[in-house]
Amino acid sequence: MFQFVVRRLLATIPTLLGVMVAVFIALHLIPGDPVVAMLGDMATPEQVVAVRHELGLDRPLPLQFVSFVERYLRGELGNSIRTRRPVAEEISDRFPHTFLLAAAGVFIAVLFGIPLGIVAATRRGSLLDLVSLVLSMTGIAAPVFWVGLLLSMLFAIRLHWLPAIGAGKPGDLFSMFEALVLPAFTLGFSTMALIARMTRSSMLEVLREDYVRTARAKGLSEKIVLYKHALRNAAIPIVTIVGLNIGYLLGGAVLVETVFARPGLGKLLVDAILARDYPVVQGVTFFVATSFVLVNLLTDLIYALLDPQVRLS
Amino acid sequence: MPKNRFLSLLVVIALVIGLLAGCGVKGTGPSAGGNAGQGSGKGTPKKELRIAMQYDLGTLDPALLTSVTDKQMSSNLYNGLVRYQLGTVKIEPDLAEKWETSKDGLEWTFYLRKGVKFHRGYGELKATDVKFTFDRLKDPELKSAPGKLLAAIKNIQVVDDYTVKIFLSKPDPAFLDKLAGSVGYIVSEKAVKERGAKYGQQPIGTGPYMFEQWNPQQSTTYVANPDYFRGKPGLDRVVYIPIPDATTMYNAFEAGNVDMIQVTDPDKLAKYKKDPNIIIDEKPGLITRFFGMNGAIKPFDNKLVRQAVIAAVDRDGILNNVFKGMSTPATGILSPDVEFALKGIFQPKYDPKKAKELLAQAGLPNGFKTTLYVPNIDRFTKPATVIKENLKAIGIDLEIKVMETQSFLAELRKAQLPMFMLSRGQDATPDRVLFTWFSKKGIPADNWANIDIPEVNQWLDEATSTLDQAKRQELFGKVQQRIVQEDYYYFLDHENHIYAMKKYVKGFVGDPQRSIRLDNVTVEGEK
Repeated sequence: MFQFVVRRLLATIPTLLGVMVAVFIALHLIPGDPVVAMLGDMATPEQVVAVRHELGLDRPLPLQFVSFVERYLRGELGNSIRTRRPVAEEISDRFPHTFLLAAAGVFIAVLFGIPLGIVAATRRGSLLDLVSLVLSMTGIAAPVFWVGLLLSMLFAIRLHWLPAIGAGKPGDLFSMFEALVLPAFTLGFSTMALIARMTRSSMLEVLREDYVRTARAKGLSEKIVLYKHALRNAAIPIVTIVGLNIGYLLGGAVLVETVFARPGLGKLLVDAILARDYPVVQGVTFFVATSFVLVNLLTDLIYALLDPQVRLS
Repeated sequence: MPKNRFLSLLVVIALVIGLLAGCGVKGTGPSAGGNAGQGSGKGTPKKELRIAMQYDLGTLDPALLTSVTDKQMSSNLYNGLVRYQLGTVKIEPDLAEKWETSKDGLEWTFYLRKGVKFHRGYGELKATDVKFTFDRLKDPELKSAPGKLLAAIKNIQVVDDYTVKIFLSKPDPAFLDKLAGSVGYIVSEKAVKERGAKYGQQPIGTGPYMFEQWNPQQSTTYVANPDYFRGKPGLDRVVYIPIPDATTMYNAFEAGNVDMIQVTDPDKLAKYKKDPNIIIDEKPGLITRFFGMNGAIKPFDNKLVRQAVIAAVDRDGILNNVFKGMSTPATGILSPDVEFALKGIFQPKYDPKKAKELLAQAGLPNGFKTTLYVPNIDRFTKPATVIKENLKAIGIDLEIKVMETQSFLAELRKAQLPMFMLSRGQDATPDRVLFTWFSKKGIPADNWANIDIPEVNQWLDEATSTLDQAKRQELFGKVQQRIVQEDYYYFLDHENHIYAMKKYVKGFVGDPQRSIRLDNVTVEGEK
């Protein structure tokens, strides 16, 4: 197990290096100059040159890349060009918000997705199955921002039940919870739909297996057959979907954070791209990529927990 | 071992969320106990105003700030030596009670108001703070971009605690206007030295409101300055909430999560105007929206072609159908509030027939193909599509190229785009705008049409270096007349700055620079 984790961690190094190369090249290929974006209308050409020199942006690209990797190896993410604050600080300010949102999204997706899928599987062809189908298809097809706007119009503008924006008052648990409800449902909706579909088909398959028939023949109650025998074996593909979707949720958080004006990494990234704030874009991308790799590793570990047949070697 | 690992997984997730909710989020600021002031919450002070901003706080250090949002927030935090009368661009005293200038315009003496206190016990404002503020702009370590505006300052002499002399290396006719802008805000020497690099997010000023707290991407909170020299301000608390997405901003306003927003959508404006619970404040901005033709690129080197394009565009159609009265038609280059602005010099007639004739005279009876570059913002892309249709009618095949704004600006600054559309902000004095847009010295960074007319170059050199107001008026007048006659630009309109606020917000006065000053603003009655 330990060996497996170490090997997997080592394997992430080339992945992360690849991410760094890709981000670096993409950033320097798109037109736009951070110095002009920063100094605005008022700067003279000489001043632009001076600032560009200070930021090291006038050096050849390969050299800039080497020093970028070097700094990261030392654990320095640099300073934001726009606010002049350390990138690490910018990220740590926002990360709790994004993590909270993504976690709440997963929670809602799992909480509603799995029961929906089980019901649909056990009552196949019934009205409930149809309702679950319609709900899931809507969830998969509807764009995140559209769902967000609809929810916001209904619950914030019409009914005034929940706030349309923000993350609540820091320290006030109730207001933070209130502000989380709409974004979390918006974000979790499509993942919930996926999980429901996956649970349904996975359960249907398992329920046809011999051991389920055996279990029923032994006279076990339907509840135990479903939850102990069937669901546990149907769970592996579901965990895969959940694991993969955590990455997707981090991405979807960009849109949700924009629609609900919530603080977070996604919004930080979008603002940084618009301002050509290279250090922040690089820092956030690297951070998100690392989290993604770690989540995948975690997913694999959970497999082993669920299924003794999976060996971590 | 639990019977169902899935259940335990769910429990773990729930626990993590609970934990995070408890300890996750904190703000930065001298008094971290304050709240973000969002929602209707209990315990919030009665007189609180929540304003939606386009961006989050970047820095509130006057030597560094450049974004519109930072300027707007700093306007209620600081004072300069002079300021604009509310709602106008006329200079009036602020921290300086009076001032005088030498004949040659090189020596300015300012007499400071006595008893002005910096926020949070940082002491009385003295002449040394003024000297420190302006000396600091030249600090090579700081690399102040706006500081360049005051590059003419040679040195500063503290005469006594309340008198300061500023010496310029060359006369600057727009000196007072520069001092009235955000770069002229006076900072506390003690606070800047004490707070160092953190000063931008923990500023100390002399203005009506004091900085309290910044929650990144959530809110920036100010509280009333009880010692403000003009008396305690009308609000207890001001909360700036960054909402970059326009739809979200309108939703937040309609849901009652913010009290005041800037309106840029004609349909929303029409809706709000009908609502008795909403007050609208409109003011033509110091800004001109235009499209230009590059004289260095064929066939726009031919004046007849440029005249044909101008005659082919249906401005009324654009203003009435696309912007629905949200802007003021431009009859000159500069916004009418700018000093020496000539009004009524640009009055193009929509005449497709004449346009076709002009094209034929230019030797292009069958038209030509060209490209109009626009930023990816609908206030440019929408009129661009109308212009495309207009030009099609006279045989010009116009391709519209939409670009992300920063990329667009980077391309534009090479002055190699055949046609381009944008709007540009202006100052109270015309110096920067007229000089950089139309003088040869502005190529390529600002003179995107590659205009190079020897007389205009000379008039601009003279006008921007003399203090003789009559001479300046004459020369700037000649420049504007001549540029309009050359037909490189179609000056469409001046965008109005429009604010919508709930009817309990009283006393707001908008201004041409959309500085969102809250001088007399208060909140009355039920929210």
